[in-house]
Amino acid sequence: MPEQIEILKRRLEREKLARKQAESILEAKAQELYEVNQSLERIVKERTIALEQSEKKYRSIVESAADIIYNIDANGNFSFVNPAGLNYTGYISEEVIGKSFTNIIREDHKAKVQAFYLDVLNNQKAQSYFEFPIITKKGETLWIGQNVKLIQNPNGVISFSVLARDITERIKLGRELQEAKLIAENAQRAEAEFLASMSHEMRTPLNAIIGMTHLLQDAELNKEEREFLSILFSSADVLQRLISDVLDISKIDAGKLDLQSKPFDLIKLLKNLERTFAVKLEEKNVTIRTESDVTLTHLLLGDELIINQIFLNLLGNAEKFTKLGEIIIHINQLESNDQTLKLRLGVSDTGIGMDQEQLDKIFEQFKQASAEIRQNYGGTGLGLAITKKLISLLDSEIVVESQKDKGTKFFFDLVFQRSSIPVGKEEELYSKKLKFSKLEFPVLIVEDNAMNQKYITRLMQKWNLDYELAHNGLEAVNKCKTNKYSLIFMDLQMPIMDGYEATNFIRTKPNQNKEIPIIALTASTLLSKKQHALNSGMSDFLSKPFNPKQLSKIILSHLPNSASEQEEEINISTFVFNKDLDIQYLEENYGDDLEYCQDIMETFLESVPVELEHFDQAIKTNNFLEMARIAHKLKPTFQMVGYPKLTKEFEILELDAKIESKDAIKEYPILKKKILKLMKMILSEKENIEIYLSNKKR
Amino acid sequence: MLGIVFTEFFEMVEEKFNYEMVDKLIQSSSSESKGVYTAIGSYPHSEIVEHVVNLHKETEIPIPVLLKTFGRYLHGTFVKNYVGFFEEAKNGFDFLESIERYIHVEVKKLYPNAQLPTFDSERISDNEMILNYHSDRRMGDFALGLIEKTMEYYKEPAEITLTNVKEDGSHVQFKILKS
Repeated sequence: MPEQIEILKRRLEREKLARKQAESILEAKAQELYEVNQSLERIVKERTIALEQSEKKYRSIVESAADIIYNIDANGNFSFVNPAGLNYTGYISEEVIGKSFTNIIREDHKAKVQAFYLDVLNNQKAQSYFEFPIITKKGETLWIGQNVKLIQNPNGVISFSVLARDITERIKLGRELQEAKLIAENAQRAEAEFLASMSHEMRTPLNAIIGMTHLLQDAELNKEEREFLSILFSSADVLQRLISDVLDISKIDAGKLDLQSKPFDLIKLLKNLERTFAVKLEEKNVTIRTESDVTLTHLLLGDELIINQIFLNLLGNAEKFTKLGEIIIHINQLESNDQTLKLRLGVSDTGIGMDQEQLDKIFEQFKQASAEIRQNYGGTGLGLAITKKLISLLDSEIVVESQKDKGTKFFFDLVFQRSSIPVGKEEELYSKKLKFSKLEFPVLIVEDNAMNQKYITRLMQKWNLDYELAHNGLEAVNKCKTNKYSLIFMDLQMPIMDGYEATNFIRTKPNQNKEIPIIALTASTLLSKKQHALNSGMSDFLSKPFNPKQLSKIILSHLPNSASEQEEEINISTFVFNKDLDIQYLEENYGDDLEYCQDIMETFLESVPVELEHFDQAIKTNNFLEMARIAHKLKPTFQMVGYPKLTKEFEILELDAKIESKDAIKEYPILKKKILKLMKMILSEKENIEIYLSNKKR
Repeated sequence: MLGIVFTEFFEMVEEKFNYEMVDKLIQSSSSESKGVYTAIGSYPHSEIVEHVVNLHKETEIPIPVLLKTFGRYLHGTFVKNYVGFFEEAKNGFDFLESIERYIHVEVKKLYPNAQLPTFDSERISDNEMILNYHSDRRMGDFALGLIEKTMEYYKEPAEITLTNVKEDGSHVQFKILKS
């Protein structure tokens, strides 16, 4: 028992000690806790002060900021606007806080601004910028540009924090700048247009001057007077060319030249130019050839007219300055792929060449290489400036390399799109008998010239194409109101209503044919005439005289569905044309279709006497206008039967008649005799063909 | 070593035997503490080893059995005092994984000087887990008791095998296979 008492005593003692131990441990822990608490409180205090300072700093920035700072809550109401914001808008805090932000946005922009905020919200855009006008309390419009920040607090509540700036001045300045630019552009255009119309106006009196000098040449003059007259004549001639160039250049500057992108045969175009210049160079000791490393399987897309004009200028230049040697047309391939072809095109000559000082000047308007050049070679000094402008219109740049007394080379690089039309496909078409599939609607031919009428209508019959005829623009317009056509051929110069006016009507007034292709038929080769035709709404143009190939090519290019299966017709003609006629032209145009040649000659023989009678009549009544009209009409027909000389002479006759020169009346009897002689020749040629054909049939 | 281990050890000895046995163990010990222990104090590890060895001598119960039994006993105390840890885990494996990652982290906050064993675990499948025990205290059998009671607590009967990876018992691997 005493043993158990001892144990119990020890137990009590141990537990007492343990309790004391626990108490002291707890005491220490409590002390520790207290210290931790103290230090926590200290930290909280420090942090609070820092936070207050930061908020104070932020508040002072916001309040003294020159920029507008505001917050918008999730309901689209202002929750805060800084003093700058109130200052700008003129509102007091109570008028905006808690009110919708749309209240101050100008009416026409409310929807846009709301859409903007919605976009920020829906696409969770962290930050974005927007500009819009607001209305101040005074009712003034202010433009602000603002950065919007999307704020999302941990509870998912969304608001916007906005920093905005008054950009009214900038917007105003921008608008003024825009207006100023517009005014400047208009002024520039007006200037170019003025120049264009002035040039045109200058031509009329100038024609009279030239006409009068012609008349004076017939007067009895002494040597001195004759010299004066010659100076007068050559000065008028220079002036006329100058005006023509100015007209071209001002048209380019006025932006009146629209680039066309149509399939064309570049090689053929350059070959034709080579041929033309070969004729011109015959009298000089200069040859012309083409150097090409390019073979084209398909037509290229581009502006044939402009490229033609560029080469006309460059070749004309080369011709002018080369007395001996050769002129070369260069065609070199630079890059090629399935879609595009990059070519370097150029013209080189072995002419007088230029030194560096001269080279620096040649592309400037009205500047030629030197005064000496102007004296010796003439010209307006605009040719190369025009060429440069035309080339830059095609997104390229002209480069010139030249050596004094050695020669000059001009070249430029062009990128062409390839078309899907094979080269020479049209040639191929005509060696076969051409057949069109039936068109949905007839073709309308608007033409006052009987020969042309017959010419086209015969081709239509031959190709089994339905057609209708109108003799002038008014007739055409009336027909278009009631009937529907597939395509219209439109002569430009016609009595009552001309082709431009008729086209304008068809394109703009209610009728059945607003959208269909209208092809201009023009005896003029002037770029400006053709451009005018395109500007007035025509789709394309065909220069008179044209051959069946050209006519069918143009039909096919505008009505691609009209192409039909071709029947092979092996037709090797051995017929030899009269050597007094243009054999090359005749063979090219009728070589494989002598029947057609017969048709043309027959039409010629039928229609020419009628026109000659009209001309006689016009002379009796001294009606120059009528004379010019008939000359214009007859002009292409001579070339069509293989006698281009008379076409050229009639061109002069037309000009003379236009300026009411007595030369027209004086020259006419000579021309008439030539025509009658030609008619005899054509008649016998027609009979020869008939005999040849009937022999062949047998 | 945390005081709670000592107080609970003597609670168990008193419960399974009587206070005479407690007194005997303390009286025969050479320890500094002279049997004065409180749950919130901290005492040398060698003292608990001496008590366990002495208990073995007195009762002839093998030491591994004694340690395992103590582990099972202490588990009850843990559940009573720290039920939150148990409620947070959905099952036994989740709880065992939480020892290293969560419970020991919290213990360290309260007792910065505590020297705790480290555990790493790998779930082989939904039913099988490998648990590695690392401690210089070499009390793998004590851990076995705790693990057994843990699986019982979550009503997930399991076969638990103990393998000594290191012979001295400082690295022990438990394979827990739910049945």
